[in-house]
Amino acid sequence: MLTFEIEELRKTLEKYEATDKLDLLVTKANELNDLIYSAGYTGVIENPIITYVNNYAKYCVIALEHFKLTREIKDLAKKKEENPEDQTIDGKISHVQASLDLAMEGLTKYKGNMEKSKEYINSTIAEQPDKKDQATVKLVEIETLCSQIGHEFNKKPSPEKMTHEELLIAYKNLLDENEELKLQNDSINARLEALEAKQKAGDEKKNQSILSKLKNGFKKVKKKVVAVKDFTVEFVKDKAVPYIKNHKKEAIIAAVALAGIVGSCVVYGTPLAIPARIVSSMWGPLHNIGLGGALHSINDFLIGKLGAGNFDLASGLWTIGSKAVNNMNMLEVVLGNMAGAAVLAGAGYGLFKGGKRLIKWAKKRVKDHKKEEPESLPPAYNFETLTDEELENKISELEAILDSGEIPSEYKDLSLEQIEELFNIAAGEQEYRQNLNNPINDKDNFESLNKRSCKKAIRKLNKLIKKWTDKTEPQEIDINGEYFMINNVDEAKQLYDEISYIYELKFGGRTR
Amino acid sequence: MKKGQIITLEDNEKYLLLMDTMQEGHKFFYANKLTPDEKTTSEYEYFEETVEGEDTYMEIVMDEEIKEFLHTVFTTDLLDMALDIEAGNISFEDDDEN
Repeated sequence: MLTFEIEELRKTLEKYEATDKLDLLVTKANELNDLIYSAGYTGVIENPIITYVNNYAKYCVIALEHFKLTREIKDLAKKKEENPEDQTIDGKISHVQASLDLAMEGLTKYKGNMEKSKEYINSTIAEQPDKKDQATVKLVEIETLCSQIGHEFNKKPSPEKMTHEELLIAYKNLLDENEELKLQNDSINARLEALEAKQKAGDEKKNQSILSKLKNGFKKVKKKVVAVKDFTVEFVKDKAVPYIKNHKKEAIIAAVALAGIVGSCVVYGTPLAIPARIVSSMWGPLHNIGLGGALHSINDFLIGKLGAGNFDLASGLWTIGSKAVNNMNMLEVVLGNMAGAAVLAGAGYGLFKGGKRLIKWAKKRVKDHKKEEPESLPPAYNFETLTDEELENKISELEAILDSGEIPSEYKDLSLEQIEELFNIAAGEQEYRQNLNNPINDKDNFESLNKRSCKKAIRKLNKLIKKWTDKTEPQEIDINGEYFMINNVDEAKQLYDEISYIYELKFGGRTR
Repeated sequence: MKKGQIITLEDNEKYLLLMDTMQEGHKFFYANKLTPDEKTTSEYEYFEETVEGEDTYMEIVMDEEIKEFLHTVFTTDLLDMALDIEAGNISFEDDDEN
């Protein structure tokens, strides 16, 4: 059994009640160490896996210290702002800054050590084909455990395990947060009151005008009614439903318009009671019949394209062009642009009574929507016409190109990004065919993902992480037809790690 | 006239009356235009119903402000309807899923 310099990390983790993960990490590290030595490891660093884990432990402890120091310097800066004449604060700031610099140096150093030791481990593994898979899985397990331990620090430590000093700091932080929230709340209330007053004044003026027109007349075109007959349920079945079948986009838009738009009101925090009430009633049924994913994408589609609307976080209002609108107006804009209320009636009928059909439409529509995105792609790639076997071969071919990064001559006109789009479309077609026989999957359970879906999800997340620079709003990503809101890059990385881990355990090979 | 009826106008245009509302003594309809063989289309109109003797007339609302007002009224009704469907207060007789 190897010894590790992890006691300081263990003490810290005790506060988070997460030492079990550390014990497991030590066990796995020992196993991997045995494996690479039995594979004939002769690298420069002795026991590279110990180096890796030890450096990770130090890295974690310093990262926490760095976090505390950052908080401290922020507090000092605030104090200095309140008491600019107080020279003693400057001294404290310099002292904390020096500690911060030192911590930063430590972080860089230990991160570098980890990378170096990992290189040695990887090179040993690569030279031993018969133990490669086994060792890769163990290394991934170790990395995942390290990542999970890192995530533990995002949780709040157990108060019983905190020292008196730490409790005082936590209490002070809570007071600060409370103060900030109060200020934010006051500001929001003031803004809301001003907006309501403005809206009320506008509404009253408008109401007077409408009332006057209703009393005194307005522009109309008169036509005589020459025949009347009753509308029946058969009408919905025979006329509206066939229409929906031929106008899938409009049908789905209609079906999710209500929940989608009001849903966005809740997601983006628009403070109106009616939409909140509606979404709470509509959201569940839509998800239950498999329209959750479609709801998200079509919601974006509606807001972005049909309504051409933007949500202004500062004012809390939707805007279309430069005109501010409330949620009800937004819904009107959407309803006014779609295929009429008969479709809504028919879609409502289908939504509540013909869920299965709508699931297929929704999935097909989302897939078609994706197909429409890469406009620059040549039209020759129609995967729908391929047999299952041909489709599988095509996906494998595209996958191999993406893995190698080398574009063969027959694809020379395409970029790697376009090939990835093709891969996604082809994989989407395959997923769709598979889902036709099994419309409702347990998509929350990533372990049920097949190899291709796993890889597709990993690619998407990797792309999202790389492109996540100054994004402040949550980003949406679909994994096997289910949509997830990712609030920050750390969440994206966590999801990436989880799915990579599953991929590597289930199918072997590296994904990173 | 009442909602749920299909009307034919003097120019042979057909409409499905979807929703109705009374505002300041005026009866308005929200209607979807149908094809000659009574299939739904993506066009719809707001009508005001007027009765003269034995004849009934539908007057297409052309005033933008009134149209906007009616849109708000009908949208609110539609939202209420959605709530009623969800609460089980509105059901469909036919349970065919295919």
